[in-house]
Amino acid sequence: MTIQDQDGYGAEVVRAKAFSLRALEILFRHKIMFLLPIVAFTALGFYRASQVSPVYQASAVLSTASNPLLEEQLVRGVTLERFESPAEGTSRIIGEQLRTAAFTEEIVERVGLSDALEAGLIDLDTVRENISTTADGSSLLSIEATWADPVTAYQVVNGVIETYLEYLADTAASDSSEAVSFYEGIRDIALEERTERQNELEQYLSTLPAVESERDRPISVQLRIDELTAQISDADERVGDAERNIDEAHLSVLQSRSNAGRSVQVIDEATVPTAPEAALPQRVAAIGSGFLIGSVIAVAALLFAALLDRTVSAPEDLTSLPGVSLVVVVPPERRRRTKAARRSRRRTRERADVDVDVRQIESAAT
Amino acid sequence: VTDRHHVSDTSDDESHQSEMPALRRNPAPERAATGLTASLRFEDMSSDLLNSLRTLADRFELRFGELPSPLAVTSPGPDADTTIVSQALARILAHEHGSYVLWMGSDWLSGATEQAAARADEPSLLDVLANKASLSSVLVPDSQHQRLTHLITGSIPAGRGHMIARSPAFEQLLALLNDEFDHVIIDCPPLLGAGHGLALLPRTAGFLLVVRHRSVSIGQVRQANELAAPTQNVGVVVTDYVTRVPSIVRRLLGD
Repeated sequence: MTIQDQDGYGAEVVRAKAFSLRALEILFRHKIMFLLPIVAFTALGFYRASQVSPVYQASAVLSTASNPLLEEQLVRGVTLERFESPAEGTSRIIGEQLRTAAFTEEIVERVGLSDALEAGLIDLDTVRENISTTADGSSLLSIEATWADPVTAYQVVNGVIETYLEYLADTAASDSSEAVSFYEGIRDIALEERTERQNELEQYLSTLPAVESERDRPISVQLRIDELTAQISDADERVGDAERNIDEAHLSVLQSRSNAGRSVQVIDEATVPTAPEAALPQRVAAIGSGFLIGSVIAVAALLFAALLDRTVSAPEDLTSLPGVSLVVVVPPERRRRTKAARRSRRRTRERADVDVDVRQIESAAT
Repeated sequence: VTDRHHVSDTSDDESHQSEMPALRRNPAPERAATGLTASLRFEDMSSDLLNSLRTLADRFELRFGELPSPLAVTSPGPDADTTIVSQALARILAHEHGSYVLWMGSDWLSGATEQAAARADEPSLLDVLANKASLSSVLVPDSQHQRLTHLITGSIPAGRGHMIARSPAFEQLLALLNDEFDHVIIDCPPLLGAGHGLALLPRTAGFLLVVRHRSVSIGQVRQANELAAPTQNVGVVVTDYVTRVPSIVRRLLGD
């Protein structure tokens, strides 16, 4: 028997308590239903854990004292404003580049997995999932790769480093490379013009009658020949200027690439791993995630069921109603049969049986 | 019914006024106890039910004074234990509070033939209202408690229930019974649907709602409560209450 009234309870508190009791009532009435998703997803987690195969991990440590791709950062007073160390910046850049298909495909090609990629045995996401970069301090960067076989893990680490260095050099020398292209264009135009003038001069000379000496030519002809010769010399001069500039730009490219290369140094080179990594953490994670997903689904279902169930489930459901001051609950008759009552009835039956036996014995004796 | 009721008749009023005290103090029925009254024994009732109703009555008296009379014991929908609850409450008031209590059913209101076992030649409520029988002829003393009396409505033709409930004669009869008895407990039909309980509720001073656990919606209780206004709600009795929530959890929630 329970007595409930509104004394001492705020309406919100009563409603919250009523909802909690309703949800608990549904939970304890339908335990199996709510345990089912938890058990099912945990079982799925166990299955996934059983499928976890040992993997090999290779790693290399790079030193990134500076990064030419990062802007110079200012430290104001004692407060670092959006400060990013070279190692963190490099880790971020590698992570960003890994999200591009070109960068990842370059790694795949360097590792020699292009055929597997084309055959559909692996995809780019698989490669991305197995590569991780971690900044350790301000200048050290760790690159790790996991794979089912140790040699590939080793190659993936090297592939990441080489691809990143290539990307770094290309990006750092991009201005100089553009200058090379620019001057090459100028040189090509000058060469074309020179060839044109040369052809024109040769054609002009072929139309002239043969003379014993150049001095025998008329002045107008001589002037035309001198003009074409001067144009050829001018084109030659421009070609020479362009080639000098091209050489300077090439030198600048080499310097930029060299500077970029020096900004990253491999401290610990990757080695072929000799033993696989422990699979226990992955297995625990697989089981735990299954349990978590099942629990979330069960809780969501429970809350949904509690929201939909509008029957009178607890006295608190009624005490929050206007005009209802007292609520009493009465258990059903069968619930009153306590252990003591059952024991009492059993003793009564036993006594009755004994009485019958005694009467039978007495009647037999008489 | 309205033309011939003898309760409103001035000459009969005097006879009733002189008759009722005698009925109240020393019921002298003209009819023997029926099977209905035979089932109304303390030992047949759940002690949980009796305890709950005792507590409800005590708490109500502490907070609001005496229980209102006439008191309708009703429910929002069908299949509620209003009969058992109303009989238990009547028995508690008669036996433990020392009050003179009248209990009456109201199946006749919804068209059912109450007291199917009753003989056609026995007087009914309709006969009393039609001045064909005396009031004492439909009052039956309880076999267990002298202070508890049952009003046997007898056989009433279908479709006459609403006429009776809305008639001034019935209202005056209830007023008369309310004067003569400390408590008049009415086992009222459901308030919602085709229960017709709302027809009787205006004749009462309060009502006690009986709902079965997990079979009635909160909305139905709210609706019944709103429809019954301004009649006072004495409380709500939740029957067949079985909770699967462990007591330790309930204690943690403040129960």
